[in-house]
Amino acid sequence: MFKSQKFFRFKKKRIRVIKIMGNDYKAYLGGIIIMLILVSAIFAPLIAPADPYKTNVTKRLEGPSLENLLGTDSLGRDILSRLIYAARPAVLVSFGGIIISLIIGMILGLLAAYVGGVLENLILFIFDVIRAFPPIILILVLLSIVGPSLLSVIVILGVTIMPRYGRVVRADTLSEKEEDFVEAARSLGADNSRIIFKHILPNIFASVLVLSGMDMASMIMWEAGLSFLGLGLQPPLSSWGVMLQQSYQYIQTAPLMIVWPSLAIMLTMLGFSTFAESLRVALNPKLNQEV
Amino acid sequence: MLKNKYIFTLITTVLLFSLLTNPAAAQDDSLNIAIPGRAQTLDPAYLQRVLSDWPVMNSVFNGLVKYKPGTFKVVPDLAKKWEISENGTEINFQLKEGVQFHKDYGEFTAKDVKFSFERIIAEDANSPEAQSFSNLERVEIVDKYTVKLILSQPMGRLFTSTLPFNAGLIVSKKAVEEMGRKEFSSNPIGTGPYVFKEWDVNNNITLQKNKNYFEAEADYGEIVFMPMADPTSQELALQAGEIDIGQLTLDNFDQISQMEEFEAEIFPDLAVQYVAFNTSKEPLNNKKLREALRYIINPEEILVGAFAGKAEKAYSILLEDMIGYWKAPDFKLKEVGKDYVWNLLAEAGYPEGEGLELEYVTDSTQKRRLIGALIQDQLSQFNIDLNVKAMEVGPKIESWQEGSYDITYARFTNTVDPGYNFQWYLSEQIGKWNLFQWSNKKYDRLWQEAETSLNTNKRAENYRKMQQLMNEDSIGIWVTHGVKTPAWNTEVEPVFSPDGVVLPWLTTSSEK
Amino acid sequence: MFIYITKRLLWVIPTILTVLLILFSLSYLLPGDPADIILGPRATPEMAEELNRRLGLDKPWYQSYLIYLQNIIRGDLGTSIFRDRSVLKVILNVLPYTVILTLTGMGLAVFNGISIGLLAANYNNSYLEKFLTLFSFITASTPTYIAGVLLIVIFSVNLNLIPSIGIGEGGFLSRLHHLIGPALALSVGWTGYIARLTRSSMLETLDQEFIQTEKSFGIPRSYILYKYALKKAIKPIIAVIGLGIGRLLGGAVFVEVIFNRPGLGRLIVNSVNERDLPMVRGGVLAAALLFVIANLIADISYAYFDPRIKQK
Repeated sequence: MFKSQKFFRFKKKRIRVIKIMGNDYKAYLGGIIIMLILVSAIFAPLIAPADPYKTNVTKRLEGPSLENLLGTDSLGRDILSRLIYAARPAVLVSFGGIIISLIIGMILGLLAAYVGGVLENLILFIFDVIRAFPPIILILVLLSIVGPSLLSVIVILGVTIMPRYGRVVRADTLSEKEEDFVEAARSLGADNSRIIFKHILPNIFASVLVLSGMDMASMIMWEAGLSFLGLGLQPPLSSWGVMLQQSYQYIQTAPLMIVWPSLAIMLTMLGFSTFAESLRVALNPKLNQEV
Repeated sequence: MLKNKYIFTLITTVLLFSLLTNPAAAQDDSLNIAIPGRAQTLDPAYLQRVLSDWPVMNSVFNGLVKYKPGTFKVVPDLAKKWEISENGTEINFQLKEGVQFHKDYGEFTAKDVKFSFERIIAEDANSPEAQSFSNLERVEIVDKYTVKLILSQPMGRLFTSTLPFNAGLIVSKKAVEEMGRKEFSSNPIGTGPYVFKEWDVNNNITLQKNKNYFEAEADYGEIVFMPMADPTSQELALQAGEIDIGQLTLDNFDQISQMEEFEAEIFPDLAVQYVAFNTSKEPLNNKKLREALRYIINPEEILVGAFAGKAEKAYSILLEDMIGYWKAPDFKLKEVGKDYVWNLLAEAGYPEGEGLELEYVTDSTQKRRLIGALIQDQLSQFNIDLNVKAMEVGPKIESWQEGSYDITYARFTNTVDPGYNFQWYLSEQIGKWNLFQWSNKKYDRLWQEAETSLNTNKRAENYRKMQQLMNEDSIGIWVTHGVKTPAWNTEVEPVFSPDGVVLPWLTTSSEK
Repeated sequence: MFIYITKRLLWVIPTILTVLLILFSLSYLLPGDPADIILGPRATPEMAEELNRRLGLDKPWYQSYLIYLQNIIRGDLGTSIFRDRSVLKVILNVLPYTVILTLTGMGLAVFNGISIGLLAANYNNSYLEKFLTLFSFITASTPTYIAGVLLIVIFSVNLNLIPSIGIGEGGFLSRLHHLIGPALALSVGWTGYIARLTRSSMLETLDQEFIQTEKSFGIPRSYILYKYALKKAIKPIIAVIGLGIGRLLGGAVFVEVIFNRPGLGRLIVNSVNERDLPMVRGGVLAAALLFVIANLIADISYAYFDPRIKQK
């Protein structure tokens, strides 16, 4: 009985979401950009016109030409190809970081909401300690401890952002727990894991999804910022931040060079944030001011 | 609401106004010089960073002797003249009379010389300069203006690098004793052309003209040394008029030096930059393999890619006109052909280069990363994988000292004394600064011999032999001595040492 | 309200204590032998030993931690490894630069953001509104460092309008002139955010009944917009300012590095690179304190200003 009702509610919601987003240009803009980046990342070797690691010092710092559409960098490498390949670390960092913070955040948030008591306070306390540092400074210090690499950047970004999810999951779980249908399920003898997977997770899905979109933009921003400070990824991996840092030196002689990675970073952030915004309007989750 | 509007209008007007009026930063009697990082100490006995500490110390202190400006020729400074005994172990200095220390710390006399040198060799001094005075036994005061250095053995480098460099600078005995070592390191008292004024929290160091200087008074009333680590910042600051003298990056050198308001010059650096192979660890303990790498890694490409083609190739630790220079042969891939190198690889046990994976450790500076990417690409032509590990300075040094790398790239600051420059490759330096992790008893013996010899020909011969030993073992590749590229606005007329270090007190204003 | 504030304040104490413990443990966590990194190739073993003694690396950790805590309570943050300068003094000296930069940046963001937001709300559903919304998204998607770099490229290198380096010497005007670029770079991200917030908050207010009533009385639209709607719509904006100041503190790190300004952010970056542990600890502690305070203000002002929260 309540099961079919629930299903009905879900389906109706889905149709409504698609309808709202279908009328929103922001959804298309974000969606196209995200698709573009995913395609670049997955099919980089097929799309890129040249080998991004191939150096040729005889034609360094050249402007755009037919052969090198966006020009070459200081080692004569093709900038366009490097830009396309750099979508890979960007995707890895943003999706990897978000997955890590989602997993840890959800586990801790659910634990806090379900177990309560000392454990709940302890978990909230851990969240607060992490949130006591300005994120970029925490990331900076943590990175200098473990040393820069793709993996450490992903993990550190994930851990830094994790409290947001922990708190949202906890708050939503607490309020969902009081909803009638959860109570009903419990009274019918459903066990906790069933309640979590069948009832609670689907209902906090909306807020988490919207948050993730916004955070993926932040992660790309932070990764590039770290690389800009010289703490990001290792060569030969070329991230947009590494390219940004490398071209900064040439702002006087080859100012165009810094435009490309800047555009890539901004576009990606724009894509994630417009899509998230559109989702937010459509899903209308109960997000509090903390996010 | 109305009130707010006024405030907004006011703010906007002020912002616009300040946008339009570009208040020129030109402080006319003040000379602003960029240094590539904050100074560490101003106590000459504890100099740490040559590029940042030395220009400041050099303006505050004098030595007994100095390099004649613009050369490496040694001329008198605080000493009038000197005599060296027959066996080379006693040196008698006649001092100038009536020279006053800054800030009323009294007249400079023989006791200050004795104090300055003996504090370096004292057991509890922990001075990194102790080695510069390794054979100094004691300093004897003959009279107020005469002082005698007693050596246990003749010291080859005494006049070439010890006395005219930081170890030879004379501090005020009274000042050090009154303040203590720590306080003195940020309140230096010397006899030099400039008096220390302030070291502020932003690490700008301000010096003021010494009006009672015993030689010609300096031109500028004030010098400010400003730390700017990022080369792009120095370029921007120069153009913004924030600094008068700074360094250009090689890539922007042509463009900026052509601007009307600036002048710039390229000086050869004394330092040496090289690719080092770790000779005591698998797989590069294999000499054949190292030889192959010497063909594969092409320093010419590094010079173009990372030095904009503006730096010359180095063939030795030493500059060409220094005693003991020996030109190491070039290993050119083009001359021997690829097949030759494939054969070398096969002989080394890596036919087709398969399965060879090397680790390259570097710091995260832009230039070093570029060099890593280049070497990586060069090696990939022979199917050799290079893992580039760009680290922060700390972990990099740790990795150097553990010897946990296969290839690395380094820049070592040199002096005009070969003995100093060659000491880092002694066996005893393994685990410290011998980046080749290379031990050769013959090399060690030759170095020791040259250290205690006053015979220039003998020393030169030994240094040449040492370089041949390094070459035979293919322990690395000399890349370049690097260049210094100072630039200045046309309002100032600076004077530089032959390796491009500015001599601040000789800088004059072209406007006056 | 009072209980809420007290509770939040009390909760901060253990948080800060834990932050201190983490900062303290840095000396055991940072890789590399501090002596080698700090003293360089010219160091003697004796110098290294002395340094370790000063860093407290020669005692068991809990003893050192207690000493560290005691010193902090006495207001002694230790001395920098370089030049023995008091960490507290250095921080107090650079802090004003960061605070002024952050506040100016926030001021610009609020001013520009509200202007754009009002314009967008005024012309709702027009192409101008769509453009402004997209513009807000683009500015919100511009990281501080990109804004800074692009400002330098355009306005310093090419147009030579604003200085790119330093804080200016002497006069107030020169200092202000040097502040424009950095503050603008810092404000860009939040300008977009505030613009969006203003627009949605305005639209929400305009929908409300009393304004609809005013409208029907024939009062001019712009008068309604400014006199009534803005007054009401501005509350949620004030509420996020505290949050924004916390965020901008992080952005200041990049701005200070790019524009070569003294400040807390650059101090931390430099000290991390130089492994000046006492300075890293002090700097991060100061940043964390500022951040916690900013967040506290944000929470409280949110609870106070945002009507939705109040209802809860």
